[in-house]
Amino acid sequence: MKAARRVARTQSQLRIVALVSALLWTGAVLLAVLAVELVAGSWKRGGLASRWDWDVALAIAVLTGCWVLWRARYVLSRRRVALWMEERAPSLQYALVTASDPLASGDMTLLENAIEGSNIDIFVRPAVLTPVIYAGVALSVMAGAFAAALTLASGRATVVVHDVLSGVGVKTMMPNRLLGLTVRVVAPAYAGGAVTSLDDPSGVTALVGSSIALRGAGGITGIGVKLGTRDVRVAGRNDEWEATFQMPPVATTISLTDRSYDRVLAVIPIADQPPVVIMTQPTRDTVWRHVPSGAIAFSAHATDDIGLTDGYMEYTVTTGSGEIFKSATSSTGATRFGGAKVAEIHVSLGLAQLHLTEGAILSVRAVVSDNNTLSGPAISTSDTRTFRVARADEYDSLAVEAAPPPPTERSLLTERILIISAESLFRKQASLAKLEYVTSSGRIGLDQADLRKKVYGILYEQDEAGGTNGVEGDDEELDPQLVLNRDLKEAYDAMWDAERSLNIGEIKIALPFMTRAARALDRARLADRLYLRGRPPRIVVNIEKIRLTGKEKGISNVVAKPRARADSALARLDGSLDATLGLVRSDPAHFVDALIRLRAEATPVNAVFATALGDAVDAFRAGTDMTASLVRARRALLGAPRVGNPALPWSGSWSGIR
Amino acid sequence: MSRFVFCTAQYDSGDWDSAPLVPANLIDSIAQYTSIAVAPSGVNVALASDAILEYPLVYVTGHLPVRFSAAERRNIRKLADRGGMIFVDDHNHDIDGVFHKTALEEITLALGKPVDIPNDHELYRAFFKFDDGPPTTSQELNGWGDNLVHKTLQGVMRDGHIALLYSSKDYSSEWNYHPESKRFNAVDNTRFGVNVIVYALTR
Repeated sequence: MKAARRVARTQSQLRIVALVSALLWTGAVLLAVLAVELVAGSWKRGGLASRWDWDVALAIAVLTGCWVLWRARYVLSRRRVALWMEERAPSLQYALVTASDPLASGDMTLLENAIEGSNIDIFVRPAVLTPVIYAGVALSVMAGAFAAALTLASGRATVVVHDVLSGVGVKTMMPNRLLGLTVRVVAPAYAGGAVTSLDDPSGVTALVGSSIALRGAGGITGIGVKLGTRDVRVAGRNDEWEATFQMPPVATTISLTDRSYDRVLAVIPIADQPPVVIMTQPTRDTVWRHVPSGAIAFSAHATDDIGLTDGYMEYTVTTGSGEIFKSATSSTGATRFGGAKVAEIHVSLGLAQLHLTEGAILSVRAVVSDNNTLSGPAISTSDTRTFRVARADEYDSLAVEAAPPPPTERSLLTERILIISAESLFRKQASLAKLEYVTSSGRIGLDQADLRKKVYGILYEQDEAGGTNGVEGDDEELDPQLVLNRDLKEAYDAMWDAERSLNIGEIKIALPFMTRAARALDRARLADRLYLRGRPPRIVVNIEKIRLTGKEKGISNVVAKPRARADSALARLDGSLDATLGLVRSDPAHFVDALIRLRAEATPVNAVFATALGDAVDAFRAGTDMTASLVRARRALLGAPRVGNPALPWSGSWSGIR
Repeated sequence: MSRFVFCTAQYDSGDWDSAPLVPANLIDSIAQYTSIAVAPSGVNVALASDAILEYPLVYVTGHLPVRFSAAERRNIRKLADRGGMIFVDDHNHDIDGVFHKTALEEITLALGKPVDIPNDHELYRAFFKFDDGPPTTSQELNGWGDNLVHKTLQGVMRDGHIALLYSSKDYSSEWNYHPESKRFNAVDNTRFGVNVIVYALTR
């Protein structure tokens, strides 16, 4: 082979080598930069997720490739290639340069022979391949480093490299392991242990105590799970991670993190409701006139959201009176329900075994328990039916009970004092002027009127509580049918007559009526005083008198202020909703998480509001309009908007306005 | 500012109205010793009605078995949850008596088991100072009822304050007299009632 051809061939080889080396170095540098960014990105939120990082890596790699090509620019010149070859085989002593020089003249045979005999390829070929080998090694090392960085950052060895090359972005290269979650809910054993699965939900709603398993694809390295503030252990299995926890009794959130990714799920517990039991027979309380015999049937209807265990009738017999009572409580045998959600209790209670006596009270209620073995059975009771055996002597005054006598009115003079005063005045009649005598008699008449009005109040039970004391009309005719105490009525009538005579100075005529009234009052005092039970005396305390502040007669100078909103919990939720909705503009990436947290916070306060928020989250995630859900949420807090009176429809005339 | 209205709870079972003069007596004491704006007479409100939730202090007493209906139990819970206070007094003054047994059972069902209130609790300093805890009653000193002098009161706590105050000391008998008769007492025995009301209004 001639020298010129040999140089040309080597030049072609070197060109290819330069190109391949540049590409390999570009790849190696790209992987190196990505590995660095990847490691940094695993510690810094969003560090590797941006397009900018990808572009930077690519630019550095391309520059490196260009630099490699620039360094190999000598391959463009055949003379420099020949010199390069001479450098690798110094024994040629520039024979190759000279022989391949197109400007050289003369016989080149000797030079060609020398070149032919030098076996130059032994030196040149390795030198040609060396840059490719170096670049290949560098690429291999960088590929290994990148894989290690990826493993370190994501915990996942399998990498979808073509995603990098397609330029979609690094984010797709390291899948978010918090997407595509599956949730497996196993209800507590007492509730049947039903298993349900949810695909990628925004929240988990389950019975308290349910076992909940969150599962996602990928390894467990870098996965963090917190239930409220408590860490949840994450386990790995078959290229899956799994976090298992029990449904807590209060609503909260579960926070998931995967490197720079995070996600929040609402955890909404459903409390096991206590059973509801209603006494269906008998339907009302009863008073037995005599001590009863035989049996009495009781029935109750019970329901529960999960299942009922058993139920029975509990009865208490109370005997005694005044402030001394004895009681004994017992129960009928339990009826087993075997986990039914609806059940009935039918019991017949023999009254003889209760040993009821006069005045005894029998209180009966139904008691049922549910089958909650997790937090203990919930026990519920029905309303209590009360049966009372009347006393033989109480029918003289049925439902009537003695009450304390009314307070003594010390400002009134007694009838006896009035009689003494009247008699004293009568004796002085001769020594007094007529005007003075009549005036004094009139004063006694006024006292007599006060006393008469008091008797009127007692007579018609219109004391202070009734508010009509002393205001009856003078001309009012008394209805004899309304009179409860004939002695008081007689006293009242006699006082009336005495008062008229005293007012005109006829003391002699008045005195017999006054005496008659006093005797009637004495008889009334001896009579039994009965007060209806259920109307305890209503005592109005005179606050002004106690505080010595007098009566307020003017208009209060205290300006009424509107009351603060009583339900501050709803007001707080309303404020939180406003703040959360504000995130739509300021921080849309965390809007849904905030909404989910608010849902968990609101669940124990306002279930309707929380449900509406859950719907809003679902709508947002589905990419549909969530306005209707948010409106429902707002109305759950503030109530329906108030609608004022609509304007009258235009009728074209005044006929519509009346 | 609305006035304090003393509220006696009417419950379906038992004799809720066994101490009708207690409200007037305590109102009289509030008027005498404090500047609290107080209504001159108390009210009786059904425990099952939502109207009961308007009163910061609800007085419950009686001798007979206490069996709350579902509505009554729900309102007791609501009262406690909303910061109200329920004062339950055993008019039977007997811890072996039917009121005590059934009332405690119902309270436990509605709010949880009452615990002893320490005698240095702020209740005993809310207005008057009671260094030895709850004052004794004549029923205790005379050996009536359970023949015991109860050292402490009991209560169900909510957020550090007393949501339900339970007394076995029979203040219902002790305070059940006309306020006009208070002037005959050397020491006003309703002073502790003032503490209960002031505590309920200010804690």
